[in-house]
Amino acid sequence: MGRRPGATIPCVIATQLPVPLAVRVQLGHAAVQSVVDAVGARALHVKGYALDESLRWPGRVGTDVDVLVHPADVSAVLDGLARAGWRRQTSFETGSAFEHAATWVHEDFGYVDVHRFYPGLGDDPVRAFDAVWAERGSTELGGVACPVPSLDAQVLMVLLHAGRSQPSPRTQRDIAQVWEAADPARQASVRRLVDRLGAHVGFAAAVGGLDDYRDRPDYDLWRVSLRGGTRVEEWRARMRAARTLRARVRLVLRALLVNTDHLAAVLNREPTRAEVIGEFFRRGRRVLAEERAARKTAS
Amino acid sequence: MFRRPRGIAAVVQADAVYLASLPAGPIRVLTGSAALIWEAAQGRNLDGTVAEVLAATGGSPVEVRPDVEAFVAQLVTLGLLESDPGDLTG
Repeated sequence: MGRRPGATIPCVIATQLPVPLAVRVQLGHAAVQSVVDAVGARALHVKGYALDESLRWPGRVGTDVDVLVHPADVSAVLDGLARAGWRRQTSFETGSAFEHAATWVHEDFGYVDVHRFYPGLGDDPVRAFDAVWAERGSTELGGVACPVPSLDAQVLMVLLHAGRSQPSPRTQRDIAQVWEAADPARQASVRRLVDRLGAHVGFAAAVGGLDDYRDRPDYDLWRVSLRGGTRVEEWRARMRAARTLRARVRLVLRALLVNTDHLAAVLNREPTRAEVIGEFFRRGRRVLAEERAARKTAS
Repeated sequence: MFRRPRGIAAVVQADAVYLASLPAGPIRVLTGSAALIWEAAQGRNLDGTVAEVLAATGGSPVEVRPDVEAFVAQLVTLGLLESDPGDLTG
């Protein structure tokens, strides 16, 4: 106290003043947790402000809320978010090549990425969630207790995220902070967790040795995410990583469709039917151009 | 004793207190005296809140108490503070 000498009364409660992004995101964590609690779901807050302070480098800021939800609880959480005024921005299928997260947005709290699984954390999303949930901790965000993974699991999840991102100063600093600066005991402990979860491919994508896993179905997906590739290469990688015939059929059918979530984001409104048709043909031309350019570079 | 209600999330920064109604918002911003009084009230009754405000700002209880009392009542009405019976009468 004592930091506001000369207080003048009357006092004002404002709803129109700008709210810094850092504050918005922390309150967003609290808001999402209140939805999770209300529907009786299990969710872990990951990355950003949920990350243990020892794993953040100075200046690292979170720009959105990330939660990993138990696969059985995902639809209840999404229904709860909708009731609380959140709107869907992207679906799981259109969000990324891994199809792991859907982005929702709220006019006060900004963005939340709802993860139905965490890429690289193991082949079975339920088993992976249960294992991380069993060793969870808790952190206060916006004054609300939010479940978070153990420190070892947080290290691994930062690495897995870096492993599926094209190298950037941010991912390099993340790897340096959580892995290269970790003492041998912490590294050994994280490696044991990698063994327990079967998280070797994504872990190798972050710390080195990805090519040792060429025979794994998800190898190409990690390679394309880490090193880049054409749209055709990405779809081939998705097909190879798909575990069942049904998943492959769904992918083939979806490959024919325009990503309307992405188009809506570009246009900042729902696209018309004519715009979706136009995008269908433009996208085909772009894919061919990308393939021609990739072949030219390779030859 | 006043306290933050369970349905309110809070982020306290050097220049403001940000309060969000859960789960749907809105976010309300308290600055200056408003932030000072909200913080001063946490875990205190009205007498304690007035004493804490006076410690921070100076002035006399006669001048400050009516304004603090009125504002605390407003915070309680808006659901931004929770109180035990009798808190508002000191």
